[in-house]
Amino acid sequence: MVIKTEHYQTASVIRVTGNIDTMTAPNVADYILREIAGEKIRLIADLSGVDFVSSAGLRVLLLAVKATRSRGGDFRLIGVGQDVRHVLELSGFSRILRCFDDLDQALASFPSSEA
Amino acid sequence: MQDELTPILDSLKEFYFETDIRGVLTNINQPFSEHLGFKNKADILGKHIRHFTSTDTFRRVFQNFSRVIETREAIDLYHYAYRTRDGRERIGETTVSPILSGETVVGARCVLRDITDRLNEEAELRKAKEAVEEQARELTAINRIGVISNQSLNLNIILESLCEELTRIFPVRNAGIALMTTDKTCLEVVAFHSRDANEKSALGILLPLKDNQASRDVLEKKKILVVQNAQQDPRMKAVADVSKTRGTKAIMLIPLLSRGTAIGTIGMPARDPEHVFSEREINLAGIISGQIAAAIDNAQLYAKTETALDLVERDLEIGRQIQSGFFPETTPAIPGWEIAAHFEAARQVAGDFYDVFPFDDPRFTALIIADVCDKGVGAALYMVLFRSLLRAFSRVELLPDTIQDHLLEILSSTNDYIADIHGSANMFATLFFGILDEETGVLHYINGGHEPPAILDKDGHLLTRLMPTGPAVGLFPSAPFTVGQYIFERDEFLVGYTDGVSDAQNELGQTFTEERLLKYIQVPWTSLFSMLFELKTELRNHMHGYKQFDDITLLSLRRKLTPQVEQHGICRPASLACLPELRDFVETAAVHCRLEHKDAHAFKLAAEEICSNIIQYGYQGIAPGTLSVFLETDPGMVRLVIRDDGQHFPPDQAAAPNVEERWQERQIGGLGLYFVQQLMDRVSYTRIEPGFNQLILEKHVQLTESSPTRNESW
Repeated sequence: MVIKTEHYQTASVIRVTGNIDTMTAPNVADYILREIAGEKIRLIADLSGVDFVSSAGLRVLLLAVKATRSRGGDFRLIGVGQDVRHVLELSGFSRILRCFDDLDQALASFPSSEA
Repeated sequence: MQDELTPILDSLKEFYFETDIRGVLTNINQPFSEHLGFKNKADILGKHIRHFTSTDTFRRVFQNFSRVIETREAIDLYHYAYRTRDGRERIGETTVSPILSGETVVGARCVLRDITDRLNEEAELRKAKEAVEEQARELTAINRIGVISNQSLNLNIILESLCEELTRIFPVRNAGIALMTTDKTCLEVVAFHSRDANEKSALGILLPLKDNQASRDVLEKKKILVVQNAQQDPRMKAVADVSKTRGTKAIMLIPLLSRGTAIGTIGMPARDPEHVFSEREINLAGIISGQIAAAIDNAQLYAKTETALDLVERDLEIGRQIQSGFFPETTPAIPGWEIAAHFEAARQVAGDFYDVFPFDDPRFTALIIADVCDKGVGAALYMVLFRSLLRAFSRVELLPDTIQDHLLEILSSTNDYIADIHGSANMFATLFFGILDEETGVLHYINGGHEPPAILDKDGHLLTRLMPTGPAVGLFPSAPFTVGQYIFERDEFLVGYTDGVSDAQNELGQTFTEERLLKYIQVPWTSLFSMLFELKTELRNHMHGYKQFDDITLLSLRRKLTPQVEQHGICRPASLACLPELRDFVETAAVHCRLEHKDAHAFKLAAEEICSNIIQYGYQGIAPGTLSVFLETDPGMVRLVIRDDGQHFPPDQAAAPNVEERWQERQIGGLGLYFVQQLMDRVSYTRIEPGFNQLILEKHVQLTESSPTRNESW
């Protein structure tokens, strides 16, 4: 499990490599909550390095959505693979989370004045 | 009184003299008289002090005298430069006080100490200190240049930083680095830094060498050139206008030498146009330019190596992709038999291979495991050749009563082709080639010098090993091969492997060994797939991340007890650390059973959710036990059976979360079991006393085409 953050003008991109499951979900949650505590409330998670997300992983994504939106930001996704998309649809999360095809689109989806 | 004092004055270490108000010596002590070069006082008394006062300071001495006479006050400790009789210049620390007669000043008396030596020593010390400081500054500069040169391998970044550093080290306005263009007709400014933010950058400017005598001189003579007036020097005529615009006069041009060849120049115009570059500055520039040239060399070499490596990597990747096409994507399904294989290349391309393909008469199936000698690209090319030859010679029509002959024919033809046509390459392969008759259970085989496959019964007892029946294939023409035979009883299985398995090393250099391999597999297995999965885990644990030296290949075959049902299973401690392995097993077993990707993922997800629930909540208050998962296939149906020895724990009829809810209302939790219910067609729980929980998850699935023909990519 490797997590890195890159900061852009409109948002910060969290790149996750590995599986988000029962074992790793707490680490991912800690990481994202730390970013949010550091006033990074416009977040994009790049899941192109994630092959598998379990319900524990979904709970992290929901946590991130709630934490960012309640502070006036948002948590959006890019790089969603076939299996992860299936899990998002199954859980109805695909209606809650905004997914984008690539980073440029995701960055452009945040108003630049908020940066 | 004077006479009384004379002996005292003469005995002083300090020098003493008196003058009248004109400055004529009226008294002097013996030491000073001698010091000035007059053994006899009478020779100097009556002379004016200007005779032994340095010309430069006479005016100041005279003023001081006048002041003493006017003010009647003494003057303390001023530096008095005087001259001895033989012309030596000395410095004395002097006190002057008035000689009074009543109210009238009649002269002056001086006490003087020669401090010339002390002053000289001090001056020398100062000079030495300055020299050391200068040297330290230079060393620091050289050091900084070295650091910058190694900071990056990106040449542009290095050179920009170097230019900036040069403007700090030298009293220059800017520094520019220009490299010779490939046609050697111009210098191109590739880096530039000015201390004046308003100065226009010269970056990218092309300086034709044709008109530029100064640069040509620097490049040809490989020596630093200092031009004192760039606006007028004929050697810099071509850039005279630029020099005028920029106010450049004094400029230093330094050659950049890479292994003796001039590759470019550094140009540094002095900040003060009239500055004269010192020898030290020129020497320092020479040293630094050597470092800069080395940095350029390194970066360019690195870039070249990178490109070359990229090309090799790309070629190897293409090779790997092509070669992976030579491995069967799935092993063909033979009714009543189970086949499982595992292959892991040590490098991008491999010399090991296995192959399974049906003959024209589908009752017969070829099973091959082989290890081509050597490693890397050469072995990979021969692997492809061996495999193609074996497949090609196998296409000849096969009659049941001539299987042995046919097998001999295939092996001999392949052997002779390699030995005759490619004899000079000295390539060969150890290989096991078996032809299975699925109806009778007879396996005819030739073992060409390969590790003997093991045959085990259903309880994992080692029954026999299929020993070599000939030499390695391709060693020499007309090699003698004979055909062996083994008849499989129900539930007996074969395990073939290459030496990459037995020779797999850990970080201590300890090999996995054949003994350990054979011991490890001698237990009952639910399936060959499970066995290979566990063996793979065991091997990985042994190597513990240590580099794999050789390709690892395993091929196994079993005559099934119950032909219809396929079952794969493993056990693990009920620990979260085992969760990834459990779910990976379920996923790969599902793929092995030819489930479509979507269904394989569904089973993986279900396994993760159920197992993590059991591990986290099933053993509260009791010691963690053992979890086992089984994947079973019936026609049209796949079953995931999960057994644990935890507390009685029927999965709740989890209240289905409202998946239509807005995000504010979505609850965290309850999703795992909801998933399982969504993904599976039937979920049933049984408590098996004493002390087992069994959960069965069933799903109707479409199996992917198990057509063996897809492997026939001749």
